[in-house]
Amino acid sequence: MSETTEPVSSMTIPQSDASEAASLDATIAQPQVMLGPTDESPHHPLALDPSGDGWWGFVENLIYQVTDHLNPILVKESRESLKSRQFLITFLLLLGLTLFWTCIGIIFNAPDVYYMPTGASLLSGYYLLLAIPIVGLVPLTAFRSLSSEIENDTFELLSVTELASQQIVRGKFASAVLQMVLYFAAVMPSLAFTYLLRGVSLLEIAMILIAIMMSGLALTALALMIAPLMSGYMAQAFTMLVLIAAIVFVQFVIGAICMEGILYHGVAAGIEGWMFTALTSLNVGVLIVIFLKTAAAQIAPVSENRSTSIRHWLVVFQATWIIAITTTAFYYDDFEPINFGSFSLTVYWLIVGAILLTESTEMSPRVRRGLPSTIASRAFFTAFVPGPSSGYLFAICTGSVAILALGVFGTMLQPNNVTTEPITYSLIMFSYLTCFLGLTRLMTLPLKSRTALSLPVTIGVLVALVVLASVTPSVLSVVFTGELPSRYSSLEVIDPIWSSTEGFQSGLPFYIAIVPTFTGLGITAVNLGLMSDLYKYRKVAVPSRVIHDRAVHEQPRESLS
Amino acid sequence: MISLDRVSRWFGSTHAVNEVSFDVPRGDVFGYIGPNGAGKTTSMRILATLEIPNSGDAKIDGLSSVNDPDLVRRRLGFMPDSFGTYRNTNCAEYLDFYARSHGLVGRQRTARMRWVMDFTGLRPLADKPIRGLSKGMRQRLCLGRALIHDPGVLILDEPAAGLDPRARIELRKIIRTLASDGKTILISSHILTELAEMCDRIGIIEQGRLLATGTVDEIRGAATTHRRISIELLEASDAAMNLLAANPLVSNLHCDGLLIRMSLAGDRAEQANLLNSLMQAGLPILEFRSVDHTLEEVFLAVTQGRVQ
Repeated sequence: MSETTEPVSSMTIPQSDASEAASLDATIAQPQVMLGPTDESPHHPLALDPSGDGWWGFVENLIYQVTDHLNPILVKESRESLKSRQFLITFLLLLGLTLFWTCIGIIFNAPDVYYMPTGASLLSGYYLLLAIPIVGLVPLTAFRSLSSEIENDTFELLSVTELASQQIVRGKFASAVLQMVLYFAAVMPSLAFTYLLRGVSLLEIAMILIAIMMSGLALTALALMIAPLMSGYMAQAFTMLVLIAAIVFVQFVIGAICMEGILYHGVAAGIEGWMFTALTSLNVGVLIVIFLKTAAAQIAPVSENRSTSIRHWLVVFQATWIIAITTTAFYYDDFEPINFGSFSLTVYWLIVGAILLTESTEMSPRVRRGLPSTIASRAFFTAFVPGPSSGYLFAICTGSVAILALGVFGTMLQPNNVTTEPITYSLIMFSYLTCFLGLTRLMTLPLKSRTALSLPVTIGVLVALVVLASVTPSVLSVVFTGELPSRYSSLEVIDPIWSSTEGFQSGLPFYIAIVPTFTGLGITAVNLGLMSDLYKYRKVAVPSRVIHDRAVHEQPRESLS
Repeated sequence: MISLDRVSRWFGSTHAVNEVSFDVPRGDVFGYIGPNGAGKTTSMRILATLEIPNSGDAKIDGLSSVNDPDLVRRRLGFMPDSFGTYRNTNCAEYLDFYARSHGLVGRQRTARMRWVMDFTGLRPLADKPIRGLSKGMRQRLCLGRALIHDPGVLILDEPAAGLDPRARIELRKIIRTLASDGKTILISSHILTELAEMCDRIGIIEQGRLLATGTVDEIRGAATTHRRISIELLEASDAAMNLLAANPLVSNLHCDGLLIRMSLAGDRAEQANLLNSLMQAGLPILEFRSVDHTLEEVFLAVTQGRVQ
């Protein structure tokens, strides 16, 4: 180590300071211990290798190797949360209340419990005890976990590590899942007890657990998605309120499904209940992935491609939704679900499309390295490239294909009890999608997509257009006839709300879809003509320095010190 | 090495960093000096992949911190001026977490943790909750965190802020040691005397613009047009004062007994000429020396004290 002359050493200093300075120099001269005194105390267990001796040594070694492959965030969050007062209190409270409810249930059902099936009444109490921490507390904890990283300046330190944003979000999510599992474990003996009391089947218990688990997971993913959405105390308070509202709503819905549907109407016994559970779980599962990907995209560096993988999953969600819709239509031999599918996909792509319109127009060289380069790949994959124009193209193409396919599919199956031909309804929905999204894009084109206001403004323009289209026929009717229209006519086709209602109730003739469809095609053509930025970017080569560095780091890390 | 190439970053109408360019070769310690709000932290955050410049590029070992932040982070240790900590976490768990976050596994991680704990003197505090640590200990922990993955480049933003004199001396030693190990270090500090001693080169930034860059001597030479001269006489002499007062290059002439202080406009040749003229006049000169400007004086000469 090179010794430099310190000004302190040349100054006249008191004797005590001089000896301190001498001891400090001696300390610093040691090769390893640079700050503070030499310490011979044993190292912390986390800094020691496993001994590897004997049976326990083998087990310790095994655990040591397993934890090496765990997500670091999961390890950190688990250490933190399992030591936290909040978890301890919640867990003990849950155990205590479960025991209390068991005692109360037995006392109140005292003589009946020996010969009458009383499991259902006890299970309703366990459901409530389990739903509060899993569907309420865990999502709120996940929200605070991510938002406090940003508030407390720990997120920046996390950002300069080698953890990818996906890993950070997945770690937070996995930690929430671990907490859920622990809460489940606390109540599990009581759930087994309800089965022994009869009156509730294993299938019903399983379906209730699936409902609670899926709700908790979806809300946790939602919490992680909205946590980094806004910064600042007031904004954070607002997003937390939104989350609480979502939790209350989901608690209500799941409560109704579990109490009414499963416990008292026995839907678990029939195929309908399991079909509903499977299809809902499939769609909620895909939604969870989309929420998590969106959360990761928000905290990822801006130079990264934060859009393409989300777009892939948006398509997957559309596919799972279509599976749910067509399965339901087949099962009930009722093709109204097909029309509902067209309607819901239109709403879905309008919202998703408006959000995609606000993506940045700038494309980093890192993203450009992954652009499609051949004619064929450009033709098929340009819609997946980040940017507002490709986002519009993606929403219009994917949404239109799905909506029209649903219409054709429904019509080919020759429905006999449907009020509107599915193709007519899907054409009208297609025209709403192309008109509203196309006009929104045209009206917000001058808006810089990088401004913070672009998302609320774009959503605002879309909502304003829908509202305007809904009230215009009525306004025109009042202006020209002096009264509100009493029945649906060709003019009302621009009103999406009335058209949708009419489509389900009285039916829509095919000719009514012709003008809106061509209008939608025209607006789409205008938009396609204004997509110069889509062709502006070309694929760039990966710098050789980056290729070399990646090759080096793909090899195992060299031993350190 | 570290390289900033015409980097600009603005927030609204404020140019936090304006066309800043400099290079720091491998193993050098580069001091980054400037008043509050000058743009030091913003440029460091750009290098640390936490900010995106509006124009220009920042590179670490030839890798762009804008386009390849993941690759840059492997070789970068960043110590911000303020940092948050986690609840219910002790020092060992904190370091273990960051070691895992940098992909260190198995014995590499434990070995590296032991090294960092010894290097920063945190071994006896390993079990202590972070929230209970003093400012100096927290700074050590943050430095340990920045060093945990053995990065080649260190960016230290005000690492000595809030430290007591002993801890500052320790920190100075540590930085020189790390530099001698081949680490490239960019450091900002308000304690200019310390920077002058530990840095190979410095850069002075004000209002987002890099005003001067080079060794302390180079900047001193470029920034100050006058040389400070001190002459000690063997005995009092009015002739000496008269001779010096008559020289048009001499200003700020002060006499304090046998000691004469003055400013001399010009370079080393002018200094030699002055000494020659005094000797030829037969004056009893005991000592003739040029007094260097301190880094603080150079800093004041270079900057205007403007804030954005």
